[in-house]
Amino acid sequence: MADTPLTIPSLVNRGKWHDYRKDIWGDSFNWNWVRLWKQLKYVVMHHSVTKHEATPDDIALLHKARGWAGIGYHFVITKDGMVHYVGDISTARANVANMNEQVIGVCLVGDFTKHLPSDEQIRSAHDLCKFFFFEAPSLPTLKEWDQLVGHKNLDATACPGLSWPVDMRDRIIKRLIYTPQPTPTPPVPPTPPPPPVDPCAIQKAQIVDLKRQYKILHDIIDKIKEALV
Amino acid sequence: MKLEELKDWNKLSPQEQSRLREVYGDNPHITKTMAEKPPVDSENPRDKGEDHG
Repeated sequence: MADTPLTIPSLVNRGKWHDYRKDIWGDSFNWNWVRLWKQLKYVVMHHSVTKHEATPDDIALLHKARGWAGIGYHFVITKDGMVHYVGDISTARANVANMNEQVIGVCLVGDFTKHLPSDEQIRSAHDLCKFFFFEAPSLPTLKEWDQLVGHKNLDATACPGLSWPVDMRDRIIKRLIYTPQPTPTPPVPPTPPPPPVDPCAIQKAQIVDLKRQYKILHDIIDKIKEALV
Repeated sequence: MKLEELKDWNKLSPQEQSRLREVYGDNPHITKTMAEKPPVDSENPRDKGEDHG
């Protein structure tokens, strides 16, 4: 039995990780066959060609109807960005004909011939791929973004939709979501506090003012005296 | 190929069939067959892959 537990901190910390291998329908640990790590060459993106709200169970159900013994993907990323680990990565499953031993199959739920992935799906797909390419030393043959491909790059299919590779692939690589984010406003520098008030300065100003008034009054008195003389 | 033509369609319960119709509709892209036979020297091949989809 192939049991490869995974902990992907960037997904766990965001609450977007769900190890569903034991509970999803079918054989997640042996089917279709057990492979070697050195056989891995690609992380492959698919879309489910379903409603955006579909679940991993819906996809497993389709594969059950096909007569398979388990779900064909290793991961399913639902609209909310949750990454469901559904097929052990030690197993070659069923998502790219004649190349299944070479790929980790990731299915983004939705029909991307009709709409785009959600922002959360882009973020989670990035975090998942980044883990395999740069943070999983046990998978030495996966080491660069060039190994991120779409199903259509390996087979005659429209999967994963119209925006692959431009611009969906770039968005996954750069973790660039679709929704414009507000431009951060530069911080307003704090207003400098008023200088401390010097009580002596106030008194001096008052004295100057009194002297000025005294002089004016004195001039008026002089003029009255002159007029009376 | 339609959903109803999938190999084990008739093994699904009516509820399961209804759910698949709701989720997939008449989308023709589901007909793609991606499973394959495991290599002869593979470990523990449970599914021989004689007839996938």
